[in-house]
Amino acid sequence: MPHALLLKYPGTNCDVETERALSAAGFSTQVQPIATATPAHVSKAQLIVFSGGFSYGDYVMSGRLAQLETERFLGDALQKHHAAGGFLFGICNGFQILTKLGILPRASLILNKSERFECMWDRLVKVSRTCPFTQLLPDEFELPSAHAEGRLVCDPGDAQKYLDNGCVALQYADNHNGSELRIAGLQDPTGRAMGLMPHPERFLRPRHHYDPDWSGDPDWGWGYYFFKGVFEALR
Amino acid sequence: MATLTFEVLSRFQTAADANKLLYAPIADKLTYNHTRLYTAECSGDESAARAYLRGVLVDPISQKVEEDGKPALTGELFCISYEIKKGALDLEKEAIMTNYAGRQGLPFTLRALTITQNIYIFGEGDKEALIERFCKDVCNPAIHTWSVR
Repeated sequence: MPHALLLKYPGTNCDVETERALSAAGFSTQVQPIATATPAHVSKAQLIVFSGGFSYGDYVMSGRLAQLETERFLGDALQKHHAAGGFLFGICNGFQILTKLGILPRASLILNKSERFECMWDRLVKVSRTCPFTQLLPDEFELPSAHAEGRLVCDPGDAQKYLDNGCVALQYADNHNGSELRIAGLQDPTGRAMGLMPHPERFLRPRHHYDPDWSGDPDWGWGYYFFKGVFEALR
Repeated sequence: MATLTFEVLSRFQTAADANKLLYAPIADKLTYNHTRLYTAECSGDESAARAYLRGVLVDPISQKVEEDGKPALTGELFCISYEIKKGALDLEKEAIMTNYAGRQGLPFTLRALTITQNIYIFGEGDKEALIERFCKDVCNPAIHTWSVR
């Protein structure tokens, strides 16, 4: 059974739902506070997950202190895990952390264009055809979003480069947060690391949908298929 | 002992309606922008301290930084600078200092860090009355100290 390690920081608040989603997809899962995490924890896992929340109160900027503390406690264990064929998945604040760690293509997630926290459902468009995390999903689907710092920005020209070379996994249909080229999810060139702002773990079952008559899938919400997709890729 | 300053501002943030800062709107057409000023007291290898702090405090993609002590923005009607009172818990400062304290073998000592929020108000109006109004709504005397320039 593939094993997932979920790293938890002070302020992480989506770990319970994310652990539930990982278990539903078939993973054995360990939730580990970063202060007691070691490279040995990383080496036992096939998938490292960073869930949503407000790590370290989003001080300095979202994900920054989590990145620094991860480097302090784990050194380059995550980079080695990735280089050795391991998978990494960052959701919302986890996406912000993964970009800061330099595992995903160079980008930053800053305050939404509205300069406010926004909680809503987002319609998403699948862009990459090779992303293991989205392989089981339809071309368009919806997920809940809840963030203040979800506007993806890049160095000049990089966003188009990511779109051209297949690093854009998902785009927003409606770009409420003002991300460059409507980018909602990025993957690295290998496809083994992915981050996205919306919350797949919050749409695990059909009853989690805002529409009580939603009939997209009889058993699962779209979010489930992110976890199932990477599970299938690892099996 | 060296004092290092980093005034950090967003590359993407444009001046916004200053009424967002107030509990009740005013008629004056004012805008505002904000920056964060970090002041660090260090001893030892100053260039290593500067590099460490720049890496911690500044996102090179989305932010700019002024390190020479000059204000990051100019042309303001006034600027409110406020910070957490001495003795009150500043969680951002504590998080940065905890990360520094956990790093092994750094060739400098970070002795103190102060974080100041700068609110630049742009436009025209009765400066003294506006200063009083904005300080009342932006600053909290229970936890903040502030100055205006």
